[in-house]
Amino acid sequence: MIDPRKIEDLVAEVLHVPRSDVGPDRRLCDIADLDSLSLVEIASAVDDAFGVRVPGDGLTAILTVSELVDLVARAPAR
Amino acid sequence: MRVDRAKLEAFVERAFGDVGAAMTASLVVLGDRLGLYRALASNGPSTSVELAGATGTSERHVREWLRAQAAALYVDYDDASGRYGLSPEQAAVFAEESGTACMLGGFQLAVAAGRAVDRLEDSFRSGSGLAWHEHDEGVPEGTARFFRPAYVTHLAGTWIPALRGVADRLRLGALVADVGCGRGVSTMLMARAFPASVFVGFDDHADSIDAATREAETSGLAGRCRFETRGAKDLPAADWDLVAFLDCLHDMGDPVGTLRRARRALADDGTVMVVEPRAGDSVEDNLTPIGRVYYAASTLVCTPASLAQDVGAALGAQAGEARLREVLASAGFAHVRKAAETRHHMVLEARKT
Repeated sequence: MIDPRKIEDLVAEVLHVPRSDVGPDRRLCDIADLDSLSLVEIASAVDDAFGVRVPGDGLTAILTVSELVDLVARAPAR
Repeated sequence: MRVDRAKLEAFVERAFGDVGAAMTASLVVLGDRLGLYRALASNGPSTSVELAGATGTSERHVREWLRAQAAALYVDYDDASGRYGLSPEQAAVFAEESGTACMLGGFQLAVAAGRAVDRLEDSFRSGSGLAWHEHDEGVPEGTARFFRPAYVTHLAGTWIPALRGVADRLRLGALVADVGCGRGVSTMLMARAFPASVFVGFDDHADSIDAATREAETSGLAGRCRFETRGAKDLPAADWDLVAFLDCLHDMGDPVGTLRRARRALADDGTVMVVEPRAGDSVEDNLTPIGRVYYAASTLVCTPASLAQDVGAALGAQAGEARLREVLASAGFAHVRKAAETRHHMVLEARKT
């Protein structure tokens, strides 16, 4: 099982925002001004923490944090 | 005026570096086509024997390719083990097709566009144009891959919400035209983001429309995302809520006529979104690393494409906001506003009233 709070911690860390700005229903693009490298950083941090490869075509700026959690839960292990 | 030895040395060094980059571009395309980067990413550091074995390629060719890649700093080389590998950053740029740091499309576009050099030499002499369909097939495919990271990052999450009232309308259910959609990357991203709306992509390049149609079918979007081979000036009147032009208005022969047509085809309270490369109004503003890429692409592809069509306005890929506003005003739009700006793009919103 993926702990959603760990993903929220990770999103806050990668996007350099306070932890309180990150909640399950917030979309990544509403949490911070993303650039194209932000999504790569999130995928890499998820890989590092959970050992899974999030499919790049699923990881878009309009995902909510809970959708990201689902994506990570379904992603194949490395 | 006599040459300055130090300046000459520095400039020769810079130009020689560019020769290396230009030669390396074809090697990147080879690595992409043959799966060499992807194999390095999935198998980890490899010798030339291992990489050739994993990809069904000839070891001697691969050995030289790896050395060239290492010299370009596109792969890492470990002298002790004799293995070549990709750092996470190199993998993000060369091995992760769907990731938003992928640069493979840019190299594909550069190499494919360069194949037109003989015909462009004639065009430069005669003033004639060169249409999209006259280019190598790597030009439309490379262009789609080149722009994809920016669209994934900004289109549905930043650009559309920056247009007044448009995101709400798309959430409820709207009709959207994506004009000059190419292989439909932008159309399908919008369709995924706004499942209650219907999207139609138009492009006069039939092969791109075929590719887009196949992709929409395999990704389960075919019901509300379809594509038609049709020129921009033939956009059907359908009370569109949104007519989008992404990185294509400057490729049109008649951008004013095209926008007039969009204005007539639009619902009375509809919106036109024009996304164009972010550029300053003067040449000097654009003499930057990003401007270098867009001016070069514009010389090879966009400007000749426009000149190959009726009117041949040839805006160029870096027309700048002031010129684009003039074009929109000439087409009869009463309201024009810059809605958003990101590193590579600017987004203009236009309405009838």
